[in-house]
Amino acid sequence: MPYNEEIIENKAIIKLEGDIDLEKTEELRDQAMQTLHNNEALEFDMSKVDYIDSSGISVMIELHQEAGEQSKSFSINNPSEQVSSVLKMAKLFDFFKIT
Amino acid sequence: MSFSFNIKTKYTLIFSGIACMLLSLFLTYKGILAYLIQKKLEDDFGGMGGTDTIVIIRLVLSLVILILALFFFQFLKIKDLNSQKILLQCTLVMWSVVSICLVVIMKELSFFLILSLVSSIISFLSIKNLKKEIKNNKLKLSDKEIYLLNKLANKK
Repeated sequence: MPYNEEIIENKAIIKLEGDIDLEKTEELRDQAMQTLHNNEALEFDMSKVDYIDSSGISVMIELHQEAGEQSKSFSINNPSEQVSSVLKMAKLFDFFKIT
Repeated sequence: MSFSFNIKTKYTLIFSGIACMLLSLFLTYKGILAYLIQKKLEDDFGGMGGTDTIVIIRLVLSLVILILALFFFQFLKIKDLNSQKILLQCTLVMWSVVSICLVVIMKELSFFLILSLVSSIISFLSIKNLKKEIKNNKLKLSDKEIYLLNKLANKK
């Protein structure tokens, strides 16, 4: 598993850090999809993310849609300033459930 | 009080190119001068003929530095910021080595010592500026990316 996970009452939290770019999104997608299948809810802790590109955001969109199809929940927790900035730039800040 | 020097990569490359050309011209001059002195000595006192090693070294070095100068002008065409960063880092290392060599071997060439030191400083400042530019660019999304992401999210 490339990122640390924590499971609290059927809710999985994946702790992301550093740069989320094309090099890492494939692994992140696999890990997150697997985790979402095994739990009722998935949360990305993005407080330590320094940078996210469009491929990283596309993974989050896929997870949001996959969670909706499976009647599960996907949310972003504590996004860093850089993540918030990119999400606002992409006009997707309101698209995700941000806690 | 803080100073910020926004030196663009192209100015650093142009400066380095000109500095290399000056160095090349100087070495050519010294090479020709050494050749003329050697020829005169041979004419006056006789000799074995052939070319002195110092003449060859100076002229070959001059040619190499001239080619390097031409490379610097060719590098102006590179637009990718990460490639520019690598290029500037190599330029900084090159000028630092030249400065050290001049200090150790030829202290009397103060003009070229100052020129290489200034080139090193300019390269260093240019790298700092470029790093900032790369960081700012990283936090941007193109219009196409925004459109595709919104399409993926079924917002449009």
